[in-house]
Amino acid sequence: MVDKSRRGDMLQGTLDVLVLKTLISGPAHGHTIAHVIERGSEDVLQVEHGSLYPALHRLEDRGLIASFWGTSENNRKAKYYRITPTGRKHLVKERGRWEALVQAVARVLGPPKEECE
Amino acid sequence: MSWRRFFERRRRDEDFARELEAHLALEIDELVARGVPRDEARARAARKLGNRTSLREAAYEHNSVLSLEALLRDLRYGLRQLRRNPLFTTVAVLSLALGIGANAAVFSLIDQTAWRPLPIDEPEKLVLLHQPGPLSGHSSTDGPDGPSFSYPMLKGLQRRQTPFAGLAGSRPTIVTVSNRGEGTVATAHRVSGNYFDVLGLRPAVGRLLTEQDDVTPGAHPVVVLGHHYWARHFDADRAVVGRDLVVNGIHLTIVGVAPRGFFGERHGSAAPELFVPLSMNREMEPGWNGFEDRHEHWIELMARLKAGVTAGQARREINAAYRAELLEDIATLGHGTDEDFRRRYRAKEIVLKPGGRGRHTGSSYDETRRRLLALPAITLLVLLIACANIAALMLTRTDARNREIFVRRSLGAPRSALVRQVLVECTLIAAAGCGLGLIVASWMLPLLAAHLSTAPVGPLSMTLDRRVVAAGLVLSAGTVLVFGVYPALRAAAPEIGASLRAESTQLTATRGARFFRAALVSGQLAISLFLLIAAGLFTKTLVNLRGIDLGFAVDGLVAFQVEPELNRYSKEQAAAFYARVRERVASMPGVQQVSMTTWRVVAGSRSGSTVALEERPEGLAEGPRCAYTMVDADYLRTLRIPLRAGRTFLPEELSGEPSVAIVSEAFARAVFGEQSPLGRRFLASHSRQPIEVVGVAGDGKYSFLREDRERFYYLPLGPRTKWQGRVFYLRTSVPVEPLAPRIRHEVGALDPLVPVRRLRPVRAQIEQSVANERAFSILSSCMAGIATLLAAIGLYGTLAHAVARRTREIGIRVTLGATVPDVRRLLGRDVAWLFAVGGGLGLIAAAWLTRLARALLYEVQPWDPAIYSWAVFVLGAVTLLAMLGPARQATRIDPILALRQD
Repeated sequence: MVDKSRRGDMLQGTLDVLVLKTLISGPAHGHTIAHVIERGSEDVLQVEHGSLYPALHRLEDRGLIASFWGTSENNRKAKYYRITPTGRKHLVKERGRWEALVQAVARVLGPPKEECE
Repeated sequence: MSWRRFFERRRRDEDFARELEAHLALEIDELVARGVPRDEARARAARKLGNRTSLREAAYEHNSVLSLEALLRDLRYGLRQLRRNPLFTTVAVLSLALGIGANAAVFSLIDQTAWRPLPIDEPEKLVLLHQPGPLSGHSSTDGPDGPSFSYPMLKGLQRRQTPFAGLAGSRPTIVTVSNRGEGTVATAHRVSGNYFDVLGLRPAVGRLLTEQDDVTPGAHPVVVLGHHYWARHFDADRAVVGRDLVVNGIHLTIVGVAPRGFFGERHGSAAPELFVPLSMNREMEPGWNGFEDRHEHWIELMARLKAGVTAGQARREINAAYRAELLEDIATLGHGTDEDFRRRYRAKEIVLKPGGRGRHTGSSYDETRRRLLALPAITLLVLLIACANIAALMLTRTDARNREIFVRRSLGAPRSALVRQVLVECTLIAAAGCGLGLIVASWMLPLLAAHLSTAPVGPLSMTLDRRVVAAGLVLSAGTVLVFGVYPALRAAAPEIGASLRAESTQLTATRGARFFRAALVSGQLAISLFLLIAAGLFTKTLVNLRGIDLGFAVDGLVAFQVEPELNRYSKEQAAAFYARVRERVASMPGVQQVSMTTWRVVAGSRSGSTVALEERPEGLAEGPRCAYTMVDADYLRTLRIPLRAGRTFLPEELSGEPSVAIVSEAFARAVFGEQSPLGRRFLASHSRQPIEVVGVAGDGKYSFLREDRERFYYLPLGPRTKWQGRVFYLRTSVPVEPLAPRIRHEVGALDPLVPVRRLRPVRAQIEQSVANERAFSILSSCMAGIATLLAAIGLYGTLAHAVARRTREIGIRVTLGATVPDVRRLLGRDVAWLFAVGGGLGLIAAAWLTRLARALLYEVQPWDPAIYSWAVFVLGAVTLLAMLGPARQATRIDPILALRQD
């Protein structure tokens, strides 16, 4: 069965890449990941925290990240995720694609000032 | 999709719940740390997280293989849909059931009679030996391509052969078994010592026969029981080994029991119940001494190929041995064979045929094979009609549901859900159709088996084969899915909205769909017509055969057979026994005449000889083949065969060995031309002296029901004839049924160990000989009936659908002044087209295909115009009937309502 989330759904794919990027700097639990993404994007990307979890589970099923139960900085049990080697490779590939896409879109749209005129 | 996830999903669900709890706690902690009051923080965290239950549900679904919940939902919905359309459901399921049932039964039968390999070791290595070509002397096996060999030939080939791991011979015979003071009849296979080795069989109990049991004639009184015989007569008692069995008055020691499920290698003859070494042949067939004769051909040979030897190699090698043996045959050839015959005899070759599926015997083999081909052809056509019906039904149904599907799609139902739902519905229909079909099949199979004389090796199993059941499932599922799901896929396609909008305004369906529908209906009509014609031809054949003039009076004629020679009676004792049987039977009340003969009339076999005029003895080699039987003086009177000229036999002609004969009119014409045959003499290959004609009898049937004006002659039945056993014919004026036990009683009083065989009215025997034709007539009529019914239903459905679709159009026409006959004509034109195309195709198919079945017909041409017109008439009537409902519907369309419809 084709996972619908992989079928050209750009936002979904974007969330996956953001999650992987977040985990590059070390394991984190879902709560941290949500906040890192929100803050990192200067609150432009507002994540409904709940929608993060299906993405996490999907990434885990695909073997891009792995999970373990651990203790948080304020002593609470939490489920931690860390990136796997496959996940790293995937991130590199996706980043490349993303940059290509951004450049392509930028070329089509042209320099920003023309739009002001 | 992952099975691991599926099985772990409860654990994973709990895990996820804990993870969400942790998330909430962390978020609340953070908010509280930022100074938000705890209650407020709890509410904000929950809001930020979203609906926890639906998250968990989504995760749960994500972890399922194929949502069982959804499947159950679809199942319930499907059942409800089917219940809401009982007509659709009934027709679809019944169509499938009849189509599948008929096919499952027929293929079960064919599998058992023709396809299934023998239950032996490596059946593909077993070959059957045949020697087609000229034969000298006497051949007692019927069947194509010379299946029988002489005993010296078997021995010689066994000695000389190189390509086979073993070469075995066998031949069944009828024996009398004395058991507890009562004589019964059994079929004994006389087999060479290596028979069981060549087949590669192991005993169920005790041991099987070996080479050591087949060395010295008369010195090996041993017997192996067939498994079914052992079970029936000895209650499967393992202690039976070592006991005696009295066969033909000889004490044989039971040494073992053949394996279960082994019923010999011959199709179409009684399964062997006993296995006796060939060395005991004289005891098994007393009174016959052709054992050492090179020109008595009676043993059937089979062999097992050595490992690595191909059939082609084996054939070359065995023929080297065969040529050497043929030279010995020729050296002992009698007088009256010319050089040409010897040359053709020498050029003969052994042919090897695959034996893994057994040996087909009897002259009816070719006929049997044709029947086995015709039967599935008919049932497959019925299945085809059923499929067409399902296709048409499904199309109609999909059309009707287009709106529903559209609405559901607009409400956001994914395409896969819609397709899955149709799939479930189709599966329900297929399952019901298949289930019912298998019930139909298990009911049809015994019926078929009882009517068709296409006997398998061993008794027919009445249970359906697993493979047949599987094939039925695949067939029905395939039919329904192909014809049900394709339209559904199309309907659920994204552009459905467009097509739906088009539909509501369009007057008729798209050209493609209309053409497909028309093709389906005319195809059904064509097949129905073809099957009607076939049924007509087969039924006419049966009627013709039943009404045949046999040349003798059948009603009130009873026959039975005794063979005391099997109980070691000498010729003289046997003659005395026959005389006393005759005396006792003749004195029974209601018996008018009694006659003895050596051959059963119209029993499907023949004993024949070539004949020639006395003046031209050289004509004997190529002379006409004529059949003969030996009869007493009362034969013609008892059977009511008219004496056209001359006289019947005199008493003195019946006591000595006189050379006189009564000949049939056809014989007289063939041998003597237009001159009177009385007082003239002819030569026959079985007689040393010329035979004088003393009488001419009316023509009639002698050997085969289907043979016309058979040339035959009667010889006087003297006490010293070589023929063993007698057939008694009784002419009675009383009902036949109560006579049977009295006859048994009278014969039993003379010697309880001599069994009475084949005691029954001749009418019953003849009815049995047309059993195949009767079965064919009944079956093809049933199939034609089913097919026509299915076609009518298909036509009705299509017309009703067309009327429903054209309601607007018809409404407009009525508004513009069309009258009721106009509307009828509108519909009639469509039907006329369908009927013309379908009927035309059916006629062409019938004219083309029934030629192939010509051999199965009797006195009716494959293009009999009466039958063709009858079939067209029946189909026409049915078509009109199917049209009636939709036509009435169409003429009742209210233009106002029709135009307001949308």
